Amino acid sequence: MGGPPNKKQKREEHRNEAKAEGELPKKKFYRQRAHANPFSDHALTYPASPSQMDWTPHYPSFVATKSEVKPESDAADEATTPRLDRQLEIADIGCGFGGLLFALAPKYPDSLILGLEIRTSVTEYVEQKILAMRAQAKNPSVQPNITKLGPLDEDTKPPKSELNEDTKPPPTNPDPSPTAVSPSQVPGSYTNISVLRANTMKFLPNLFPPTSLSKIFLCFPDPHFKTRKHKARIVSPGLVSEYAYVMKPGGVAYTITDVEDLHLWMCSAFRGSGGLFEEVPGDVWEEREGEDGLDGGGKGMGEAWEAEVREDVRIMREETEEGKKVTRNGGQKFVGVWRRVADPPWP
Amino acid sequence: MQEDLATKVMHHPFQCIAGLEQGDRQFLLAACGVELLAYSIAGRKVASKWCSGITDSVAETVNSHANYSNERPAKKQKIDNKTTSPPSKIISIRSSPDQCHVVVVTDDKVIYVLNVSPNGAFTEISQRAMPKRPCAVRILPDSSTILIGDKFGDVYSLPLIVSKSKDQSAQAEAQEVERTAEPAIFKPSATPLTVHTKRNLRALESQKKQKIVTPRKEPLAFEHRLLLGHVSMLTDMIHATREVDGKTRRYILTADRDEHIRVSRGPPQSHVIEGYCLGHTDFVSKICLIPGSDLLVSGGGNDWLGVWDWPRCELLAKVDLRKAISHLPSSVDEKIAVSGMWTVPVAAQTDRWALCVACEKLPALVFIDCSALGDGSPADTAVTVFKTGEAPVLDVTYYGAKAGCTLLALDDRRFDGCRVRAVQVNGTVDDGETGSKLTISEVDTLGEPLLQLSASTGTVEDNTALDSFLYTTANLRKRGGWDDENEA
Repeated sequence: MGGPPNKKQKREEHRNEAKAEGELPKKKFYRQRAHANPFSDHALTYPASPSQMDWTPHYPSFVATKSEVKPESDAADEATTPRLDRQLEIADIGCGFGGLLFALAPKYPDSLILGLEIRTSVTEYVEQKILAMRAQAKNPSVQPNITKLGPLDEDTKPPKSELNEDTKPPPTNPDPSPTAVSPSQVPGSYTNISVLRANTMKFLPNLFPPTSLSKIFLCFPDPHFKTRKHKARIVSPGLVSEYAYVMKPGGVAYTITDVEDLHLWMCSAFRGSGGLFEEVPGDVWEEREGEDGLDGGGKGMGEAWEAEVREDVRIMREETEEGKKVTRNGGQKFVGVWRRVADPPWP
Repeated sequence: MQEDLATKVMHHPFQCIAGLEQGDRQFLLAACGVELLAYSIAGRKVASKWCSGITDSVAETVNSHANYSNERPAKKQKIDNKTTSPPSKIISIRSSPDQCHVVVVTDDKVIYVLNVSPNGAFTEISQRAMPKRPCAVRILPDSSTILIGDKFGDVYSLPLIVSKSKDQSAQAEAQEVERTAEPAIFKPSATPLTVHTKRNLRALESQKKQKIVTPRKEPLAFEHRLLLGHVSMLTDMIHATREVDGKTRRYILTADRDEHIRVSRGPPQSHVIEGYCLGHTDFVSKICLIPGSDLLVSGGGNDWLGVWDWPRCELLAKVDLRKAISHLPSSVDEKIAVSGMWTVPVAAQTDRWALCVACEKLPALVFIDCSALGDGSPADTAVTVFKTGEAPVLDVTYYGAKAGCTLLALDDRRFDGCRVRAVQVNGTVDDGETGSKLTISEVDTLGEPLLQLSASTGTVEDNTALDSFLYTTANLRKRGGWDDENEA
């Protein structure tokens, strides 16, 4: 008999015990050192190609019915790989503890959003939390951790297709999980988000078919200050080519960091991509006074698009764990917004 | 084989061979350790020799380039114009399409360009030191640009002929920077606002108090351009062209250790990825284009070779390599590591080619009829295995496209062993009853003098060191299984 359980024991117990349905995981038991070496050969599993990836365990609400399955060119994969009824569209590369995912979920309930994270325990945390949030949405009575709610609605899921500019979540509070809104009122009920443990630097082309993503978020990436570590940065001239490859023309890549040096590096990588990305200027994505989504004065891409970009930037700034930490410390946030344009013509 | 010859001197095999034709003169270029030989096939004698690392009057000025370019000067070259670099083993040779030049790459990351005269005489015209070890070198069809892929994952383009004036200005710039700038005081990019933990904050404060000087990193002092980069270790790189709508499109195809084959546009648009050929489940070590088609063959750690329609990035077929070599005793338990793939002409038949595949340490070559590729998996009859006694194959080249003489460089270190062997690939035509077949026969065109050549140059002191120099492909296999907790 030792004494009281030590840290490691408590951590394992919390992670392994069967949780009550809808019980949220506690972050303190999932912490892992922030730096993982992306060049190592982790014991990762990844598909040999995108068509061999089975996403159905991640998004069980979106499994294709027989009639929805489109004929694929690769017959062998078609026969064995279960299909979803739509492609993944939004990726959060380096999603950490999932703040952005949970904020984006109700905004885009018809789009599949994937968080990618290389650290094992952090991925586990997000997995557990997604399951908990989904369970809460199905059964509102199971909500032990939520204290800030008003009277609950009946257990009816709102139609997935509705997304008004008006139904924004209430103002943010210091608590990281969006508990101020009853999960059953959340469009999509978090069925459209999931997380995958992956080394994005190496295996992005294995996961996503070309021109499939409409949004990529790169939030507060590891700065890797030393020159010899610059190659490990998640945005680099070589990787910008890969991001362009998996993105649709017209899709948008968002970057944010509090390290100015890194911001300048990322900007020069996107700018120097030989015309694959076009910079979306600050006056388009900066927050506007009295914004309710229908401001005039947009240029080029259409007002609705610009309003969407502004909202994405606001979420990225305010809803990630890192973003909130930076606000608390009084730091600066540097934002970059890049629109994927079509490939240049052959010479 | 080698145990009972412990008392006899071991001879260094020819680790790289290439063919060169100047008019009607055919030469075999063979690298033996640190030396390169030009052997005249008709004349049956060695036309000239070249040794790496030697400074002569031409190389005197360019040696200083190499000094500036090396990031770690302490190792071999001092920052001192008088010291010559010691000879370093050759890892790759390529003859230019116009047959006038040879590009030689040595183990110490230096790229040499040699001019070859009609008599086969070598003249070294430049030395350039690359920052990382090159793993693939190609010369573009216009014979004026070299593409170099390095282990770090980057692909560079360099002009074949070093332009004196351009390089001098690049060198002058580098010198200027060296002289005028003081060594930079390290200025941290982090600020107290960006640092998020107490421990890091303390580290940052102590960094500011210290006066750390960053050693100046010299830029490459010769003309070069970075074309594209993989995150993973690059293993092979080839250049391809296609005609579309009457215009020529150029591509660069790159293979890496993480099972990717990437198809990118050629320079100047190499940052545009056209596609990936995905399907391998183990490292890809070699890729090879099939002449006269849109086919690409790839091999590595898998038991099979991939046959791809590379413009569409579609896997058309898999060639069962394991099955082909299963009857060879040495292959049964060993994992496959494809160490070389070449296309060689089938004798006396225009536009008919055979694909020749070598597996590391295997004393055999697998020949596959290229006309059988691309229609699903090739029939058994299209695959022929040629045994090379007990010597693994190091390199393959050919000369005389019509006559079709294929040369094999073998790892045979016995003093009376045969380090270069000549064979001919003959193909029978599909006559409806028996499918087309390839037969490989020994040819005696080179005769005695080449065997003598085999016996004379270069000796081996350390067999194990030579093995680790020659056989590096199997090391590409990932060990994996690292626990993240251990790593953090």
